Amino acid sequence: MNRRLLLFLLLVALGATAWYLAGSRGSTTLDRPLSDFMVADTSQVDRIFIAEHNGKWVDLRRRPDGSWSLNDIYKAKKHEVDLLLRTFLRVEVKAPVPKSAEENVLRVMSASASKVEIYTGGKKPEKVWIVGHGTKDHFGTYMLLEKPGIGRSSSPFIMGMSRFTGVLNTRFHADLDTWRDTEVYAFDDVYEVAAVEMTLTGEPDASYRVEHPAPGVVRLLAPDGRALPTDTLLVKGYLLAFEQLNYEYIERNLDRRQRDSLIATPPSHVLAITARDGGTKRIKFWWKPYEGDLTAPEAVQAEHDKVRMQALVQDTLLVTVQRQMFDVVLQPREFLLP
Amino acid sequence: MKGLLSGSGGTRGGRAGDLLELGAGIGIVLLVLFIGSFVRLRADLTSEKRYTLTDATREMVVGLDDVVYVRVYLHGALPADLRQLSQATRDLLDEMRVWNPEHIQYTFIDPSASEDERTRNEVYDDLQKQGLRYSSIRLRDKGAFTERIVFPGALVTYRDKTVPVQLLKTQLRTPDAEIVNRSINNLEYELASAFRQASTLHKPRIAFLEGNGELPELYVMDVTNALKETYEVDRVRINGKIDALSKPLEGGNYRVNSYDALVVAKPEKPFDGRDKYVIDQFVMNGGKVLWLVDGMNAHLDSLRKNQFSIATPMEHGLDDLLFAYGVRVNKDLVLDKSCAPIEIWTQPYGNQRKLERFPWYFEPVSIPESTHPIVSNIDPVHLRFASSLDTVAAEGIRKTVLLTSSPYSRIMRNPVRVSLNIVEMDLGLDRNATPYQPFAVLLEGAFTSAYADRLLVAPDTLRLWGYREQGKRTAQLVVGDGEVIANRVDHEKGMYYMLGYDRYANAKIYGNREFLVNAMNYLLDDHSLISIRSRAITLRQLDPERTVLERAYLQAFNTAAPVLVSVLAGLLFHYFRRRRYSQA
Repeated sequence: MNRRLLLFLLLVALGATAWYLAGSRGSTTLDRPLSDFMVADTSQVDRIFIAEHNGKWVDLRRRPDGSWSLNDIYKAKKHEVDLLLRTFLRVEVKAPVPKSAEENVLRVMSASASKVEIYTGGKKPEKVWIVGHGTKDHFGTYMLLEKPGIGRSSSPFIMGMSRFTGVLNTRFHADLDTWRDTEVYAFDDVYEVAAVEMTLTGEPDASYRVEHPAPGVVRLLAPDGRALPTDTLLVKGYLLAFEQLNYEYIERNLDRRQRDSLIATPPSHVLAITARDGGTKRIKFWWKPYEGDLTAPEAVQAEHDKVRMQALVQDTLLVTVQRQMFDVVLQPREFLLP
Repeated sequence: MKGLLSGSGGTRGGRAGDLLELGAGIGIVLLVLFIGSFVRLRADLTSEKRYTLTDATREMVVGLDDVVYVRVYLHGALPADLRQLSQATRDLLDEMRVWNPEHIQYTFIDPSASEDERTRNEVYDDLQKQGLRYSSIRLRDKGAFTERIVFPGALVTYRDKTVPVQLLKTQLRTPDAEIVNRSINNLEYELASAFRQASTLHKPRIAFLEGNGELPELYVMDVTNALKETYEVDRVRINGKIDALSKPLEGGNYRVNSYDALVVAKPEKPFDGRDKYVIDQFVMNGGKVLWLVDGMNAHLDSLRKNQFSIATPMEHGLDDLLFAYGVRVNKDLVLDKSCAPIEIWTQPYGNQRKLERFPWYFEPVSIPESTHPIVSNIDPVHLRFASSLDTVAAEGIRKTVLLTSSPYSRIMRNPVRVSLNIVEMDLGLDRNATPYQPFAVLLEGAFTSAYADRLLVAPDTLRLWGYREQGKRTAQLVVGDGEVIANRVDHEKGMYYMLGYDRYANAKIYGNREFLVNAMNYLLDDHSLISIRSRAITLRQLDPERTVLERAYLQAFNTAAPVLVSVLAGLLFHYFRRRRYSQA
């Protein structure tokens, strides 16, 4: 063979070998592809699918506006999704699982682990985390990594996050209510609130309507439409409370009979918020019975639960709200008068 | 292209072909070098085998039965010295992996990798929480200096246990090459020790005795911290309590020790008879004891007020115990020509007071000559007002002298006049000496109780106490100086200095800490750590005297010789080539 051709072929062969070796040299001796749990660029994550071993699942998808949908129906809680994304970014291998514990860990994981699929634009997930239980000292979480096209690691790792003390598996659940956004209403700008009607059942003198026809212009009206003296500052302050209010949890503690009975009862307050675009959201509120010390003297016993109320949002969703947040928007008329 | 690959000759195309050939040749050489860096092929040609694992480390690594995971935080942008330390760490771990690839795993992590400052700070906090210390180093970047936080350490995890290891032993902003070199030399010990700590389930317990005028905690802080890396260290006061060092075993005839070893560091008050009995039974039950006791009561402080003082016997009341175990601390002081210096204000020179340095014979510096693992390859041990030891007959006890005075030493018997004037005297130690006086003796075997046949107590009561007349096999070390363990303390600054630090040299030059830690390792059967620590790695420096005297010659030789050799080789090559082609 020609000498130059031989040199050229040798150069190509050595170059290929060097390229392969340079690619395989890493900063770790762990099985690199299957210990690389981290997602370096979480802005690319557009779908997270979490499935629990009991068949429950949630499907979180990034919407064009940056918010996340839950199972294509609801809006997902932003801070919960952000927490997942932060976990994807900061997760690190704390240690491989000791060989002596590996079999046991795998057995427990096979019965209890959750599967987390992380998508970054493709139809196939970029990474699949199998999230197991926490370690005995509660400082780590057992996990396995699966990569489409590469396979699944045969050995689990103990995973953690720097500056975080605790287990990570509690973040990867399929409880729909917990993922669901708890927003009762939210307006980016208070000008989007066109009118608010507050009805205190059986108390027409305490009920009122606030109209907001133009920025900075507010009117306080009686339920019959009669104009009332308006303290502009007080009423504007009242409207500010409508920027965002959330419920605490969806009411699942009542059985069907209790629920129907509650809804059939006249509410204590009815709040109707009309947005600038014409849509109206109606929320009914009921006092919660006092559940404190019933043996205490009557003077000490409160009339209602001091902390929480129950509410029906848009005639469909029965929730529990915290009074410290809602008392501001449910206040009677006298507090808004000059 | 085809022409280039196939043609040759003196044409233009041929010249281009030759250049291509040359380029390919250079490329091949570079690629071979690059690929060669991936091949683990090593031959350790150093005389002290510095790149070879010691037998003890190899045994430990081979014996690992589960994964040890090492997270090394020396990664990313580092100055050259630290890059060298990082590479040395990787090499060492790779060397260990040769012996147990499955159970040793590591990852190099850059703690400053995040671009977000908050995240970086969180990572730093986390690492500090886990026990790593940072160094703030100055890096020169485009002519300007920048500060950078580095964590020259690692976290070693074995099963549920994580142990921090500081790989660079300094807090200086710009660690110099010597410190890095020393840290590299120390790497094997540091990592092996961490592996050991992480993989050891039971940590032996050591107690420092107090209550009889022993050295306060601050004065033994340095050695305490060194021991804490491997053992649990506690302080204990016997105070007549029989359960202070051991507990009765339910249903058993004898007691079980609560500690594995006891340190008696320079007691100055007499021991109560009951306390001595408790210590004796601790030894009989297999407890190890490090006795650091003075024979004479002498202090340098007493010379501040007077020009001299009289050293008298130290009445700690331990003589009968030690005698029964096979050693006697003599009531004398050893003067040794091999000694530490002292600075003394001498006669004024004009109106200037003069501080001069003299040999201070009362502070012997014992250069270990024994090959025993406790003292092999350690620096000289510094003693203050040390007494000599005598071994006495004790059946079944093996006695090993570990430290002695030099051939130029002399015993001063009780009472001893301690005076600063001694520095000006000719003691004639080279003519009239009592050489090689033992300072430290190791006792090994099954001891007989110091109370054998002496207790006037009914046998039933003795049984109730769990009294043991013939002890289990154990070991004790007796040193005739209590201050061998005392680190210097600066009360004004509220700090202590490392043990072995010499204020005149402003450096740690004595091997007291290594001696005591080795002794404890040996007493507690941790022989492997001693052999790793004792590994001697020589820093081969230029002879300072010759570099001064022969400076010009050495400089000229080192500069000119390589050039001359190259020129000569070039001429020879040219000559032979010319000769060959002219013949053709």
